[in-house]
Amino acid sequence: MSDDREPVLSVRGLKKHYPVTKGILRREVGRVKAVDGIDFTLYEGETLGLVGESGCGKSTAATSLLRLEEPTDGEVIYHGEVPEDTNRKTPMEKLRAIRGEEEAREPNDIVGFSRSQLKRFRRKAQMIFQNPTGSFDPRMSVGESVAEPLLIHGLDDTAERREIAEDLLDRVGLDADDYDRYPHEFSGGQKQRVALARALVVNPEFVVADEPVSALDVSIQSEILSLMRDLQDRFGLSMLFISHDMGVIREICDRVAVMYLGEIVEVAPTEELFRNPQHPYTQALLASIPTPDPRQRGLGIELTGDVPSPDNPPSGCRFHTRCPKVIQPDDLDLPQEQFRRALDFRHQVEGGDVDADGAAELARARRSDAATGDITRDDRRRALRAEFDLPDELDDPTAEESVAAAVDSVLDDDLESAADRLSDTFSTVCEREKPALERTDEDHVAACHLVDGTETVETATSEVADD
Amino acid sequence: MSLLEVRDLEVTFDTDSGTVHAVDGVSFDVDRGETVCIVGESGSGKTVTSESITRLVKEPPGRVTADRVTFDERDLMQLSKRRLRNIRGDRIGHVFQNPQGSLNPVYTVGRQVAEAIRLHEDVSKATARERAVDLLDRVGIPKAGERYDDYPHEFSGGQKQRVVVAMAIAANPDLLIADEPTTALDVTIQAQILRLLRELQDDLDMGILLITHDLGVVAEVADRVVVMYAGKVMESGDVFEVFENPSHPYTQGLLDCLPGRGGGSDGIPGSLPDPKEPPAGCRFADRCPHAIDDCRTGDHPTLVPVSGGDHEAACLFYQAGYDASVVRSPADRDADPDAGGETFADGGPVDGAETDSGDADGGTRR
Repeated sequence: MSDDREPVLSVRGLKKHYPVTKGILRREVGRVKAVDGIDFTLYEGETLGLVGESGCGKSTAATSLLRLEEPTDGEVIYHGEVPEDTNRKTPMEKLRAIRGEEEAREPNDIVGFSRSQLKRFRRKAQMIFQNPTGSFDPRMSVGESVAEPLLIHGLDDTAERREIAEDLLDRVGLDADDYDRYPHEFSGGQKQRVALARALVVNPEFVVADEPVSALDVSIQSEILSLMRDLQDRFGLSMLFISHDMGVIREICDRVAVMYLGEIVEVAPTEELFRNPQHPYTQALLASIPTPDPRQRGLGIELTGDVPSPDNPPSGCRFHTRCPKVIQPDDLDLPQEQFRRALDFRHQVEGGDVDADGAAELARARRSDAATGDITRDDRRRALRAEFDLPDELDDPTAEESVAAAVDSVLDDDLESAADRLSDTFSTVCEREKPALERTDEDHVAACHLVDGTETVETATSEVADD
Repeated sequence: MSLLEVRDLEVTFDTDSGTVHAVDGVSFDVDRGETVCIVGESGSGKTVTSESITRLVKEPPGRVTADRVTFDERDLMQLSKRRLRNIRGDRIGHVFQNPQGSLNPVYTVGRQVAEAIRLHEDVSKATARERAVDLLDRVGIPKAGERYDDYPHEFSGGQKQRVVVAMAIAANPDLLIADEPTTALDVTIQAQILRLLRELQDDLDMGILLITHDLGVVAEVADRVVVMYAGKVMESGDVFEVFENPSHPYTQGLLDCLPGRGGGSDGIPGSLPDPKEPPAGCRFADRCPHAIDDCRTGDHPTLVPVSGGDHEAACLFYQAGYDASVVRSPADRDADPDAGGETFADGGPVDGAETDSGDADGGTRR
């Protein structure tokens, strides 16, 4: 598929970090790595889905590739006609250019576009947002809203603007007479139709749709999705479609990129991804979707814990803190579940989240019913193990020895030696090494140590290495 | 007698531009240990239904009337405000969609849970604290003892919803009313919360009334389903019956337009009728592919049995004198229940999928 299609947009190593500042001098004390080096290519006429949980950076990826926010790093190569640069350089910019301080960028790199180029470029790239109510000025008739981009891009003939806008309203399934009505007179689904009309009015090359149907009811959702499909065919649009909803993604996308904590972990054609997901995160994500069939209950793989914070993402594979398939070291032979729990225990000990007092409290809570006698050390030991769902004896002697020793150290409030002990035994390659994207099939790449691909690809975009 | 019996519930709201009929003659039962799901789109009246059971609807402008709303053999419609308040939280717990809004940002989470306990039971502060830690632990908050003194903003969305569930079950209620409890959460977290609700139900033998718009969630947890549209019950019955033999055209349309099933449906054209002036006849007639002239006259059709058990649908075609085969779910639906085919997401063999695709496939293809 990728061979005969022209790329529209290639994103390479795109990063967006938000500084966390402190104090009156706004000293930078940390960075939220919302998007941390993602690569993908959008081909002509295709719909590429970007899916992930809230906070994984999918919306930030969209806004920073269109430069609604300035990306921190990376390039976004636009393969269409590069708009002419009419900006006059400020003296400061000239000075920088002379000194050679300005980063050398490809002429077709959106990140390097000047203001005037950006304005022209925005004709080619439109965006649709989740909340249709928030995207309209309540004091403008919807027709004016739809026609406004035309005015901005220089069409000052009122009658012509009106004609074009009415035509588009008609095409998105509304009435030309709706031109003079106001946003509050429309339902959510209708407003989203108007938003589509407004996006299409400048005849863009591609559209970035950020959760365009998430605020709508299912019956309206499928209406809008089928309208989008229609319009895409008719206008030959490429689309970057952002959603958290796997069902919606499956309905409309040709290819899907799965994001986790600011990184892309898997890219595959939609049906391939649904039938044959490679990354454990994708598998868990797919398995958590409740299927509308009461005979297929069971919410699949359980992911423990919450998404880690992006200001301090885990090392190695970012998913290793929650991954049910995290890889054991060669010298251990534990059931996968026990290894996962032991690892959870280790992370808690390292984070200083358990201590002797906590264990005592747990022990008290556990025996509040038959509260006679003192709490023995054994009680506390058991309570601590129970808190992490660790069985009284692990199946592997080495592992058991280590956990037992660590539990004792915790009870003596010696977290350091407990942590040392545990990290010696329970280490995993997933934590030490960042998995590379491996190609498992023609269009299918995934970044997981378990995936044994045919080749390691530098970036997800090397599919178009020849361009 | 069921734990909760709602008969002919009507809720209206007086507004400047007319009276809105939000809920119009809704009846259903919830038994102990049973999960009943009310499913519907926005504007169907499902939330108002759930809130009027314990009279959480503000009156005025609202007006709640019912033939009866019996909870544990007492008619909630007849109870005084004070006695109702004792039942809320104590015997009937509530969980709302947005956990942020259910927690007070200036008090610690533990204190709020302890407050829920002390409201319904005369216990010392120390005991309440111990019980609160227990509860937090039970709903799966890690290191509950330490998190007791944390504020709501220090919890993630899923954890906040766990805390809200902890408060709702603080007094071991007989009935839990959960209004879109997982809608604001990610799917992986949603799965955690649904699992939690199921475990708690088994432990406490609670009845659960779950309000949702998500048919996937319904299929996952419901024992029985009530499908609402424009304030009316369109169809109700056993979850298997409703999903495998959807009888009302609206239910059929809803199931057809679920995204991701490869059906490529165009949705249900049209929109909800005006709740101020509901049309004559069936509320769904305007959007129904099978509607005939008779559908647009008289009252909304009454619920009539359509197949075994208590499966009922409010569609004219099931009444005497009409041909029910017109709207019976077409046979091709049974033959091709999921056009998208068996996938990983449909609960396929998780480990098998990996071994026969991951290693073998990738290694041998080239």
